[in-house]
Amino acid sequence: MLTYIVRRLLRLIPTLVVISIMTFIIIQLPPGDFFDSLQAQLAESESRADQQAFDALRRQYHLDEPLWKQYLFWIGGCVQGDFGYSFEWRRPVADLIGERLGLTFVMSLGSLVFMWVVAIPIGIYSARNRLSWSDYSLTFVAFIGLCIPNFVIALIAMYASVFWFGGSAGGLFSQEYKYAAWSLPKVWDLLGHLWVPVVVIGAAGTATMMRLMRTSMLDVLDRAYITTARAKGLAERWVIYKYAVRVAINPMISIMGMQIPQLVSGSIIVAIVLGLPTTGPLFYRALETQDMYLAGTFLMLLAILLLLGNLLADILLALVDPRIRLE
Amino acid sequence: MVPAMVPALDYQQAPMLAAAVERGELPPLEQRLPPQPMIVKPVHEIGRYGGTWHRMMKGSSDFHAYSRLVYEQMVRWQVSETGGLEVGPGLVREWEFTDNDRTLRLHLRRGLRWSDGAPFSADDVLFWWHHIANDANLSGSLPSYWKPDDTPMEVVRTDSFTVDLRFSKPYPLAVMYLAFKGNQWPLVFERSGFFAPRHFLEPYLPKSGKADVATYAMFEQQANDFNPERPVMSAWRVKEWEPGNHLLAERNPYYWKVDSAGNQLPYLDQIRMEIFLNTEMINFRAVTGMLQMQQRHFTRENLPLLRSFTDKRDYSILTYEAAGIRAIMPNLQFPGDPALEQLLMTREFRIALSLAIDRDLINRLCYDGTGRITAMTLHPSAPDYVELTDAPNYAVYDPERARALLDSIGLDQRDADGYRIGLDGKTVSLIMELATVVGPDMDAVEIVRSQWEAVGIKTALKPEERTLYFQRVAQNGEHMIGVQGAEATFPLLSSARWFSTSLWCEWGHHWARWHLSGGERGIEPPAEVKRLQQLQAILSITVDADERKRLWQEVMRNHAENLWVIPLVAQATSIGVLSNDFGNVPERGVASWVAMTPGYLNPETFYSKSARALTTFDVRR
Repeated sequence: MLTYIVRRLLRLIPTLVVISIMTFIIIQLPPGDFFDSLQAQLAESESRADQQAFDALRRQYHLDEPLWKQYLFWIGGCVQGDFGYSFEWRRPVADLIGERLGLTFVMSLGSLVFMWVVAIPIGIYSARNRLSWSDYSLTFVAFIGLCIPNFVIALIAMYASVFWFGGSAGGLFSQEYKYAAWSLPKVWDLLGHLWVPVVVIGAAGTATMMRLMRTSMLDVLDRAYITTARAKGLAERWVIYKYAVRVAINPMISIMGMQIPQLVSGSIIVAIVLGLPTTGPLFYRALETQDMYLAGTFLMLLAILLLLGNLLADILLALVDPRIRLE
Repeated sequence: MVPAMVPALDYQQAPMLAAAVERGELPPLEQRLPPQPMIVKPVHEIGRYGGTWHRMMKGSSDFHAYSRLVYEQMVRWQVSETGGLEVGPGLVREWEFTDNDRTLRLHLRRGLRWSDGAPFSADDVLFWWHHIANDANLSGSLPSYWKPDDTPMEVVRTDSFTVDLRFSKPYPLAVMYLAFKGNQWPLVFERSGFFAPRHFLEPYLPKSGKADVATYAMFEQQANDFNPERPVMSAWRVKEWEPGNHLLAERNPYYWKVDSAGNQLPYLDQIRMEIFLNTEMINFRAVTGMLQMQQRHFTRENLPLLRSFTDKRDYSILTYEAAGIRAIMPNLQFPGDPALEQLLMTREFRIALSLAIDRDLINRLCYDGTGRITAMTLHPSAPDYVELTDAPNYAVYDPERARALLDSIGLDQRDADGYRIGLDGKTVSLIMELATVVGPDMDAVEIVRSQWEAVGIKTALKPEERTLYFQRVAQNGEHMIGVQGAEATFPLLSSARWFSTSLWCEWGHHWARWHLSGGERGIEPPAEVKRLQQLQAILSITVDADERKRLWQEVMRNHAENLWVIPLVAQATSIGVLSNDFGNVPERGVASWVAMTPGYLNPETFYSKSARALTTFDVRR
């Protein structure tokens, strides 16, 4: 088991190097650089900040160097924990992301837990009562959750809060706590706001998982060993939870590996719509303004999350399913 | 001579500052104010202290959302008696031209202090001039407006409070530039200014040898507008800057302006800017009534939404005139196709395109009828405003005449789809390029497209990402037809679309290149355009007001006759929200970036009628 994990970890290194190069190429693909897009933005308001001033800035930030040099400059820093400098915000990238990472993880983990807690029991229930009216209505709800993009749900949630409840729109804090230092009431306030994005982001995932769990359960419930267990007179509760669910849950675990980065990247639009202080909006803005070190670091982070998520899922799967361990 | 002592005991200050004085953390008000503070008469009434101004900004490259509120120039735009804009005193108390209008003498206000209490003097101007403007590492090159005729001005310190700007020729525009670019350097990415805190920045100069590791990057970081440590001359100073989240600015205890009753300004304790990315967010914030005064980032299409909450949330809609003319600008040196280039250069073709547009319809459908239909003319708020007389007017709707004109220049053949065929035997096919436009502006261009098609000209729209548009127009000049706004209040300060002397000129990029390179590169323009380029140079050195008006008449007539650009609709308004709790915000104004609206409307006199004044104030350093 341990050698398996170590081997998997070692295999991550070349993958990451390739990903970092691709990341860097992708963020360089749009024409021009940060200062070009800035200049265009300023010129739209007929500003006349001149070319030479921007060239001076370019020199300061080494943007006039060849691409491979810029890459080495960036990746060399990354290895030492220095992810470069954000042009737009004039702060080290690590500071900017660090500030927001905590809340992002709380939100993503919240959504993950929400998805599991809601989807698994409902999936089991649907499978056991297959083709009943309750199954149909749950399926109906699940399909609605699947087909409405979550940013639309976010907009509806915001609309409801402003127009029906007269509350403030979006954000993770009330106005009085927004800029205050951390305290117990602030945490409480956060929890009061957090459920909205958690539910919104989790909605589509919950629907998917619900359907998957149902299918997987149905698959298992028809197996001979379940029939045997029932024939032997085992309590129905034991048949379902000890024998059926244990096998049916395996696909959920492999899916979880993919869901972790999806939660982070998929929440970007929702976070923009709801105005959340998480990493997503910052990432989007960085792409828009070609703030390349910030954007690159985000892409790297997502790639690492995907790889680690898969690894984690594989390990979990191995723990849960002895058949995989034996192979 | 000692100036007559003005009794200082009448001055009042905000409770938060009075408390700090009481605690002994701040010197008393009389010692913080200059002997003769600048007196600002509020537009409506004397306000009261307190309140936080909530506003929103979109990322740090939207720094003007903040900098327009704290725009403290050497001299400043003010509203003249006739309702136009004129230059009035600011940090500079008075100024005069001497030496045949070639020297501009600036008299700085005496006894001014930076927000950290250090005195402000001519040295702060000289510091900018010698160590920032003339250091290629920071400025690249001297801004063009400080080297008229390619000769850099000279900045001479006469005494601590007098600075002379010497030019090689008469340069009346200098005063306007001081009102426009006379702010504290660097104004974030704008990278322009006229002074900087010498006492604070000198140690960070790479050449000073004072700091251990002084680099230009560190200098920039210290000088940056969002650095809370940086002293300022403006009404508020940055207290907190959380990139991506928010900005908090607090009153400057050394601010040098008082209202007409002797209360030290500003009235508002704080400015709180929330950073947002989703444009819907600002509409939501507005309809909750949270934004007391903001005219940035609202679009006309959201007007019904904003209107529907005015009573419930106690605010009103603020409409300021926008001093720009939306214009369609064909690239008259279009490099892509010689036949099309020739066609676009045909005056009758442009006139026909102009006559085919129903501007009245566009105005009613897209702009609620608030726009005005006009040729390329000055906005009434322009300092040089003069009416255009006896010039042809092609900004009228006459599709019949348009068709006849098109027939007369040889476009009378139609293809199978009914589109006109050009002289080269191919269907004439136009492409209008826009920097990603949404809302009414997009609708307006869409109407133009359909009306051009109605007279037989095949037309397509091509919205482009801003950077791409910038590259196509300003770097390569390869676009076919650009659509943009042309400044109409201060065309000389923002001249790209008027004179074909800037690479940003959509209709004359290659002519401008020829002009800028002294005839080495680009394309030689026709005589009429050369005259326009010449007129800009003459205007920039002419002092006499009547002569300036005559010159402007010539510029406008040149545009009206040749129709270099096809004007669409002018002076549509910019909209915003204004809380009924907020006082001293003028009902009328011009939304102009040159005047830094609302900067020129004295935001330091805005106040909240209900807010309680803060009493805590932390004195730094």
